[in-house]
Amino acid sequence: MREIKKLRYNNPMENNLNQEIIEHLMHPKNYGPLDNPTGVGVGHSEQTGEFVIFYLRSQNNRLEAVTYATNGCQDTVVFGSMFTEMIQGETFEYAQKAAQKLHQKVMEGSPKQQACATMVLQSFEAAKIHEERQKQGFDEELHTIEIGMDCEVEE
Amino acid sequence: MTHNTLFQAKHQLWLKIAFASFALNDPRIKSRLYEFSQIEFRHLKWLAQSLYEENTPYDYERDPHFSIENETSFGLINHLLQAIQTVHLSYPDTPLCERMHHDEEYIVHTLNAYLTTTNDERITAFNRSRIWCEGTLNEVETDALTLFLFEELYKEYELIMVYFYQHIRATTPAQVTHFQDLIDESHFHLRSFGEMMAQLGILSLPRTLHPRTYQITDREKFLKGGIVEEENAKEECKKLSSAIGDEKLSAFFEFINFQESYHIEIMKKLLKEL
Repeated sequence: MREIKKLRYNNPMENNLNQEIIEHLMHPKNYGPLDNPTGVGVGHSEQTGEFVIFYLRSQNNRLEAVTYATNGCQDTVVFGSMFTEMIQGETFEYAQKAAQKLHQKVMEGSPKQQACATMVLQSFEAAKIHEERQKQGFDEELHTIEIGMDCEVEE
Repeated sequence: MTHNTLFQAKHQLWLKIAFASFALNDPRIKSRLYEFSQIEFRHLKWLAQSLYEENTPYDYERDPHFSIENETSFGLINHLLQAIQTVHLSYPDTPLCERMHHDEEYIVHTLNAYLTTTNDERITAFNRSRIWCEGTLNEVETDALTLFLFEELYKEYELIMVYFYQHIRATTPAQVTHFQDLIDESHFHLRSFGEMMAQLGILSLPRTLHPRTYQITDREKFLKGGIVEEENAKEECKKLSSAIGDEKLSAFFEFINFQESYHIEIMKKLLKEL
C-alpha cells in the first residue's frame, strides 16, 4: 500500500494557524451533500446536538467521491476538510489506514480536538456501515453512531 | 425557475450584498450596501412567508460555486449587478416580485452610479494577511481572534437562519417578536464579525447549513440547547476578551458577551410561550 498522503499535510491539531489551515477554514473542501451517495453516515452527540454527516459514493472498492457537513466547531470543519481531501479517489483499505493514522495523531491533541476528530471519523464509519447495509437490502436513509464525547470538552 | 430555486437565489443575493458591504472599504458604500442587504433579507422573509402559506417547501441550499471573492471594488460591484440581473429574469408576475424588482432596480441604479463616481480600489478583505490594523496583536492573540471569528461568523449566520425558520412558523405574536429580536441581534453580530474578518483579510462566506440544522421539530429541545450555546458563546467572548491585550477589542468582546446574556432571557421567554 502507498504511503498515507495525509502526512504531506501539517497536523490540523497543531495550535498555531498556518496558511493551509486558514484556507480550509475559508473554503472547506468537499463540503455539502453528495449526489447519489452509496453510503450516508452521521456521527452525533446527543449532549450538544452537534453532528457530522458524511456522504460517500464508491465503485469497485474505490471512494469515487466523499463529502461532509457539520454544525460543529472549526476544528471539526478543518479535520473534515483535510480527511475528505485525503481519501477522495482512494480505496477503502487506504482510507481505513489513513483514518487509523489520523486517529493516532489526534490522540496527541487536546480532548476537544480528539472529540472533533472522532466525530468526523465516526461519521465515515457510519457511512461505510450504511453502504454495507444497503447492499444487504436494508432500506435506511442513513446510519447514525452516537458519540459520547463532544467538542465542548473543557481542556 | 421553481419557487425554491428563487428562494435560494434570493438567499444568496442577501449574503452577496451583505458580504460585499463587509468587504468594501469606502464607508459610504459599505453602509449603503448593508442597508440594501437588509432590504434583501426582508424580501427573503416575505418570500418564505408566502411559500410557507402555500405549503411549498423551500430550503437553504446554495450553489456550491457561490463565492464573493474579488480583487477590486468594481469587480465586486459588477458581480452584484450580474447577480441581481440573473434574479430579475426569474421573477414571476406577482405583487411581491414586482416590489422586489422595483427595490432592486434602485439598487442597480446606485451600484452603476458607484462605477462612474468612485475609484476602483483593491480589496484587501480576502488577502489572508491577518494583520489587525487598529492595534497591535501578537501571534497568539491573532490566532485566537481568527478562530473566534470563524467560529462565531458561522454561528451567527446559523442562528439568523434557524430563528428565521422558526419566525416564519411562529404561532403567537410574542413568538414573532422574540424571534425577530434574536434575528436582529444576530444580524448585528454577523456584521461586526464580518467586518473584523475583512480587516484581517480572512472574510469568507459561512458554510451552507445542512437541513438537520434548521428543520427543527422539537422546539423546546432547540431552545434549551440554544441557551446552552449562548452560555458557551459568553464563555468564548470572556476568554477572548481576557486573552487579548488590545483594550478596544477587549471592550468590544465584553460588550458582545453582555448581549449574549439578554439572548438567554429572550429564549427563556420563548420557552414559556410553548
